[in-house]
Amino acid sequence: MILLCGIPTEPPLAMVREALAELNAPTLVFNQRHFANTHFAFTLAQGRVTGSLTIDKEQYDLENIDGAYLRLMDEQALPELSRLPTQSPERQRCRRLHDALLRWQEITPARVVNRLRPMGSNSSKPYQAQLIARHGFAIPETLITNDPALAQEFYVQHRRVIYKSISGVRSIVQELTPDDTDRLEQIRWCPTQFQAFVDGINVRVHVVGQEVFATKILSDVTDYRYARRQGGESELSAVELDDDLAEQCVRLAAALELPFAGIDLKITPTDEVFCFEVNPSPGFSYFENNTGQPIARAVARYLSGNG
Amino acid sequence: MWLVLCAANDLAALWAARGLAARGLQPLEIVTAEALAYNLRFEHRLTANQPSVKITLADQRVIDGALVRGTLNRLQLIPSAHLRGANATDRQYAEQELYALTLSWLSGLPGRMLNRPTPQGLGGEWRHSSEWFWLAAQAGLSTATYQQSDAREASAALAHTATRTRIIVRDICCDPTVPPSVADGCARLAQLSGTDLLGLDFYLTPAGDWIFTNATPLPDLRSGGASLLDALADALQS
Repeated sequence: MILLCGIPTEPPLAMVREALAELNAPTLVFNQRHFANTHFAFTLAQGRVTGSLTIDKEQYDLENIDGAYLRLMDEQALPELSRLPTQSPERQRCRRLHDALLRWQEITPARVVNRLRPMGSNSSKPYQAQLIARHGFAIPETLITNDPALAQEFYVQHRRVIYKSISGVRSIVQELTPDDTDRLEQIRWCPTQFQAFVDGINVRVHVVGQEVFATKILSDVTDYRYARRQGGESELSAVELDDDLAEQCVRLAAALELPFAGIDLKITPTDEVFCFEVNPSPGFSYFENNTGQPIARAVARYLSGNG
Repeated sequence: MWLVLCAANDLAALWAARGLAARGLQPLEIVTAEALAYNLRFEHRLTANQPSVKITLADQRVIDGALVRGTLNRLQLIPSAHLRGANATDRQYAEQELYALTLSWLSGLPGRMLNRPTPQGLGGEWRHSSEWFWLAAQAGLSTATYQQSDAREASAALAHTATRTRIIVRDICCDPTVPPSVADGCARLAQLSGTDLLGLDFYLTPAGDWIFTNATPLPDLRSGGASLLDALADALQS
C-alpha cells in the first residue's frame, strides 16, 4: 500500500495519486485537513517499527505501507486551526500527529519520497553547492560577505552578478544593477550571497530513482519561476540529456539520498554544465503540464517498487 | 592554527581547549559563537577550487580558513541579538541566512573537524530520539522500547532513569570499563550516524546489561578526563 500525505487537491499529490490508480496500486490518503479523524501511533522495539494509522475509524497496519509520498504543508497553517489559540488541545494534537508521522517516515523501511533529513541539504545553498561540486558539476563563482567594498569589487570583476538568499528561504534571483550598488552598505547587517552570472540555457532535470526527465526553459527574465510576475515569459520543452550527464544527475540525487529530486542546471554556449541547486521537494506539475513528461507516473512506479 | 569553536559558556569546550593546547596543538584559537556573530568583516568564497573563508573578529584576530589544521567544533547556534531591532519576519529570515552561511563555511574548512556540521546541527547531527534508538539497534546495542503517537508526547522506557555517559572519539571508546561488545556497538553507532565525537547514555540493569537511552554530538567532554583529551588530540592530528 502507498501512503499519500498532504492536501489531495494539491497538483503534485493529485497527479501521483492518479498515476498510482492507473498502475492499480492500492493507496491510502492522509488528508491533513481531516486531521481530526486521523490517529497515528508507532512503536520501535529493537529496531523493528510497528504501529497503525487510523483514518475515519479504519485502522491500517504501518508494516503494510510499502511507499509514502509526502507533500505536507505546515500543519499550524491549516484553515481548520486558524481560529484556535496556540495552546488549544486541537492544535497540540494536530502537532503531535504530524510529528509522529514525520518521525516514523525517517525510520520506516518503506520507500519514502523524500525523507526529511536528506532534504536538509537544501537549507543552505552554498553548503549544497559544495556537495554538488564534489559530483563533477561546475558551480558559479560565489562571494558571501558583509563588506560592501568586497561586493563592489566582485561586481566589477564579473560585470554581471546575481544575488539571492543563502538559506532555503525562497527568494527571487535578481541581477545586481548599478543602482543597487548604492544599497550595498546594507549588507553590513546580514552577509549576502553574490554569484557570477552564468550565461546559457536553463534545464530542470527531474530524477526519479534511475529515471531522468529534462526540461529546457527559455525565458527572458533572470529567474524563470517568476517570469510572469516580472513581465516576461517562459517556454518549456522536453529535451534528452546525453547519457553521461543523465547518469551524473542520477548519481548526484542518489548521493544526496533523494529518490526524487529537481536539479537546476545551466548549460553554457560552450557546453559547460553548471548546477545551481537540487530541489528536494520538486513541484513537478508545472513541468509535466507544460511538456507532457510522465514524471508523476515515474514517481508512482518508484513508490510501488517498480522504479 | 587549531580552532575550538564554541559558545562562550561552553565550559566543556574551554576545558578541552586547555587540554589540547597542553598536548601541543598550538597555536590554538578559541573562537566563540558570539565573536563569530559580531565580526568586523566576513568573506566566504566558492570557486572551482577549495572553498575559502576569512573572518576578521572584533578583537582584530583574523581566522583564515587556509591556515586551519583542525577544529573542535561545538557550535550550536549563532547569536542574533544584533537583529532584535528588525521586525519578526526580517529577523527570522536573517537568522536562517546566518545559520545557512555558518553551515557552509564550516563545511569548507580544511583539516580534521570534530564534529563536521550538518544541516541538522552545526556541531554535528542532532537526531530525534526515535532515530537514535533505531540506529542504536542497527549498531547492535540493546535499546529501550520507544513509543510515539498523536495521543501523547514521545516517550521511551527508562527515559528518566539515571544513566551513565560514554564518549566515542572516531571509533575509540575512552572508557576501559565498557564491555567490548558495547564498545563495538558504540563505535558502529558513531559510524552509522556519521558522528566522530559522540556521547552515548546507557542505563545499567541490575543484571549488568547496558541499555542505550540516548546520544548526543555535544557531550560534556569533562567526564572523559585525560584519556578523552588524548583521544581528541590524536584524532585531530591524524
